[in-house]
Amino acid sequence: MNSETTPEHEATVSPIKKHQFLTFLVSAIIIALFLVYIALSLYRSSGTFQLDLSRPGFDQAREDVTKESQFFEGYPSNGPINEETLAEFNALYNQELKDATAIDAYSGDALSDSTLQIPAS
Amino acid sequence: MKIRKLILLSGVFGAVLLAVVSTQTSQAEVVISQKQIRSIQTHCVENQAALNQLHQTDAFLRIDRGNLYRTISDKLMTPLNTRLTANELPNDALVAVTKQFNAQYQQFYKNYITYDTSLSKLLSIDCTKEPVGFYNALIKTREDRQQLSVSNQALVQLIVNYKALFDQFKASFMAGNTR
Repeated sequence: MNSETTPEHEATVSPIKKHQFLTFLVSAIIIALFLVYIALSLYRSSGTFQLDLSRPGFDQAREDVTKESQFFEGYPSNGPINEETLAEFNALYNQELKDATAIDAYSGDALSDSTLQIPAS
Repeated sequence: MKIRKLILLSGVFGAVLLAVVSTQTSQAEVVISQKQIRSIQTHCVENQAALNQLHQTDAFLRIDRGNLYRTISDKLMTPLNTRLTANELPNDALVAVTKQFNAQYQQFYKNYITYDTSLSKLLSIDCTKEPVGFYNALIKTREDRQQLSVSNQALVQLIVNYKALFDQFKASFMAGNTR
C-alpha cells in the first residue's frame, strides 16, 4: 500500500488542499514578517538606525541637514601632477580642512553635573 | 536524563540571573547624595528637554561630520593618492595617513553608536522615579561622549597631518626632488 494514500495522510493533506488560498496567504504573511524582522535587525545592528534622521523627534536635525546639503565634486583621480593641479588640490583641501577644524565636535561639558544643575555631593 | 537537563538548565538560568544582578549592582555602586537626588528630581523636566535637544544636535553633528570625513577621504585623499601612484610619484606617507584615517573613522562610527545608545537609554529613564538609575546612566553617557570626542579629535588631527605631508610633498615636488 502506497503511504501517500493512507487515511492518515489523506486526513493531513486534504484540509490544506481544501484551503490552498488561505494557506498561501498565511505563508506569505509569515515569510514577509520574517523578512521584515531580518531587515529591522540589520537596520539596528549596522548603526543605520542611529544615522536615520527620518525618525520621529528629529525634525530640526532633518531641516538643518537639508539646508546645508550641497554637492562636492572632489579632486579627479587621474590626470597629470603639476603646479596647477597641486594648487587645485590645495585649495579644495584647505576648504574642507577649515570646516573640519572649525568646531570641536562632542567636546565641552554638555553632560556635566553643573550643566544639568546637579550639585557636587 | 531529564533531571540532568533540568539541573543544567537551572544552572545556566542561575548564571544568567547572577550576571544580570551583578551588573545592576555594579551600576548602582556610584554614591549619590540625597541633595543630588532631590536636585535630579527637581530639574527632571528641564534636564530631559535639554537632553532631547542635545540628542538632536548630536545626531545632526554626526551626519554633518560623517559627510565631511567621508568627503575628505573618498574625494580628496584617495584620488590624490591614486593620481600620485599613476604618475609614479612617492606617496607612501600619504597612503599611510589615509589608511589610519579610514580606521579611525570606523572607530568614530562605532563610538557614535555606543554614545547614541547610551543617550537613548538615559532619555528613557524617568528621573523623578529613578534618580539613581538616571545618574548612573548619565555617567555612562558622559564617558561614551568623551570617547566619541577623542575619536573625533583623532580624525581632525589626521586631516591636519595629511595636509602637512601634502605641503612637504608639494615643496619637494616644486624643488624637483620627488623622483
